[in-house]
Amino acid sequence: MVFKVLMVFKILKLFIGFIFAAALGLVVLELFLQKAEIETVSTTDFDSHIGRIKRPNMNFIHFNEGFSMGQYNNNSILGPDCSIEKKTGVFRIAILGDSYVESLQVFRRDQFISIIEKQLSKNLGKSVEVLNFGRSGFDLADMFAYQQNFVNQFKPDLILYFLSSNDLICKQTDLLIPKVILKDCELIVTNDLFPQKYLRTYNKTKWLTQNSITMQMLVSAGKLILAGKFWPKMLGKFHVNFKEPLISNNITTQLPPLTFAIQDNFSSNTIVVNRGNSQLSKEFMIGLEKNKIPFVSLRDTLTVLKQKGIDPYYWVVTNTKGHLNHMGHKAIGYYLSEKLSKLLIN
Amino acid sequence: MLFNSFIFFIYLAVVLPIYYITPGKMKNVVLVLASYVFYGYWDYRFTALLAISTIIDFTVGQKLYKCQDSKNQKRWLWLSIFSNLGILAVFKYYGFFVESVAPLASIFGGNLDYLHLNIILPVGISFYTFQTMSYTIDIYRGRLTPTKKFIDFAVFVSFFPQLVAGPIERATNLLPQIVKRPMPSKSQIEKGVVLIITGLFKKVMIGDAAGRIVDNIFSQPDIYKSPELLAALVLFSIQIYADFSGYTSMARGTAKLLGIELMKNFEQPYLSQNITEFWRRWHISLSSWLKDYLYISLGGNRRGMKRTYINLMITMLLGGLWHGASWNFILWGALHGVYLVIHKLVSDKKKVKYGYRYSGLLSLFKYLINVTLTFFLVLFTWLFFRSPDFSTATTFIMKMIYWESSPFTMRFFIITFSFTFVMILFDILNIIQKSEVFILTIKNKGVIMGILVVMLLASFLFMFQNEALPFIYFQF
Repeated sequence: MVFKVLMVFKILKLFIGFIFAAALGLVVLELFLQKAEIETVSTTDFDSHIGRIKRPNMNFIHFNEGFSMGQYNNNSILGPDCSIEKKTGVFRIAILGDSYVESLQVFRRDQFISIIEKQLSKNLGKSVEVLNFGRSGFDLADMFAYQQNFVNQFKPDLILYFLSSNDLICKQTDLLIPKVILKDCELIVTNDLFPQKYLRTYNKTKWLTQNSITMQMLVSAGKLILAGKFWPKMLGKFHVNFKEPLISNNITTQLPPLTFAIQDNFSSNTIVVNRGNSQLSKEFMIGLEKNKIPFVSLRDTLTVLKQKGIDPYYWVVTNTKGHLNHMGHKAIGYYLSEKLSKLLIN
Repeated sequence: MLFNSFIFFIYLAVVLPIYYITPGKMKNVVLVLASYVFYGYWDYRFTALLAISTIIDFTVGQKLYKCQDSKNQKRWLWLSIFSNLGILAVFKYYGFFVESVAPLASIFGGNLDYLHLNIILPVGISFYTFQTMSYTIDIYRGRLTPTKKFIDFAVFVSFFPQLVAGPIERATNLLPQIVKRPMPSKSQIEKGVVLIITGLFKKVMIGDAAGRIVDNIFSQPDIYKSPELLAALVLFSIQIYADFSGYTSMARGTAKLLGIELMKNFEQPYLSQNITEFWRRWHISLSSWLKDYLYISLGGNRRGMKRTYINLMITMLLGGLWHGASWNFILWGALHGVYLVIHKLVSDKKKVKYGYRYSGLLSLFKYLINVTLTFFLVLFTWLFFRSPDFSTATTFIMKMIYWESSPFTMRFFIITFSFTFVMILFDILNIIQKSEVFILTIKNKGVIMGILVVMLLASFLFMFQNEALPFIYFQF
């Protein structure tokens, strides 16, 4: 009997020791992860009007393709603090787009946005402020909703839509972004379509990923597993993929009516920029012409860069192809500065 | 196969039970097969090179021992040295030689383009060639009796825990253990597991995590500001230590699980009070190899002061070249050589300080000053070690002179401090507890388990999300 009690006591001591050490260890680990900025806690939050937003006054570090650090300012925009009210004499440009505009891979000082800001200020002889409203995963409809619900309050003098041919399909995949719909031939940005169950779960659990890097890492690992990366990661070279490779059948997707409705509702101070490698659809281009929306293509600039032996999408350190690298940013920064200067002076 | 990959842990989970249940005589066959699978995972073709090196040195070892006259003995020894250095010369230094000579040839109208061969550097070649060379040299010097069994020698050359990045073992230490085909004791298993987990944590959570910043900054130093560059350099000094000492811990831990003890490679090098002490604590297996087989062979300190300094410089220059076929490594070695010569000159015949014992605040203050100074001297050399070329190093130096401030200075400082603090904490705990497996000094086993589980969880999570970075010393 005494032996049994002693055994139970010993096991209990081990168990308590384990729980205590693991809990303390996790706290110390979390502290190290945060101070050494090994990852960033979740940078997003939910706003009932804007939808998924970036958390204001938030520092971030980014490791993917390249490396950068930065901050979301007091208004949840990438870059230094700015006021919603525009200062007198300042010419304000808002740039909307996806991750190619957001450009988390490079420091803000090297982004094309900063180059435009500097060059335009010089060329126009007045203070120019360029606000980065790029958001990863955004398509045309998401950008439009973002403009209506968020960007317009900053009263930009010029709005640039950075688009690629894929963005025109308007899939609106992010569940927590307001949806743009066509109702009785009228374009509506609605906040009524958020999936409530998903939203409730998100709101209940977000504090975990917003405060703990360990949790954020666990969530990211879960996403990788769901994306089918578990066995390749585990088995390395021994992993054999039995799945048939997806064969692209090059079917040109017809653009939905929503795309043209958005195009018809572009404000008069909009400029469309083709940031992709392929041309935008013919119908879309005709619509731009009809609505007298200026259009700029970056294809030639990027092609010239490639011809010079500089791949604007290549990242040396990670040996990957992805978003625009520093050279790409530099090239399109100077190119757009010149283009915009001409457009604005005329 | 990388230690910081999931496949290595799966491999270990397969190899260890097979090794344990295999009867004594066959254990070394299992080890050789396992080692060749481990090495062949990178590129199976290089296993042939490993086999050739094994056959040559085994044969030379036998012949050397049987040979009676010194003339023939010398011939056999030179055969071993030439074949090992020959392999190194072809695979590691050939490209560097052609690249260095080509500009000279072009001055005289020559074109050496046809000599350019894209030879891939086999992983760990510098480590196992040095190890096998020590075997034949020790037999020549009469310090070692060669093993009669080829399979035992094959394990000595290809022993997977230390095959690709050391520690560079001496046959006098490793071979007798291999011949015995030991089973690990309970203490060895405990220490082995702790060493593997702490080593993995150092490599992944400190080395690789810091390396992501270092690699990006060193690839394009011109776009970064002065404090960011300085942070990258300090982070590299932490990265290389965490990376290499993490690897060594894992190697020693894995060997312990096989019942074999490998030598220590690091003893808190960044807590050294002078550069001589640093070299007694940093990459111990290489520095002692260079001392025993190069410095002493050159005459060491037996031929007067001048010759001692020259020998020291030659040893460090070749030590630099051992790290890589590049002028940067030669400069790195040269700088260390100069430091060592100056320290020898300054300290004269005084005994070199080693370790520290607290004897009042003043002594602590002196100790900290010395440690800091030594660290900065070493830090400067890391700039050339890490820079891919001289222009990168020049950009660094110019940006240190023409200082450009950065809005991220504070963040970089905190990041650098955090990595440094955690790495030094390992060293301090090691000193206080007088054990590299200081965690095992905790009495409650549950606490030990808790700490190890958290370290392993964090490392696995990081490994799962990021591409496995090879150990820095694999390229050497």
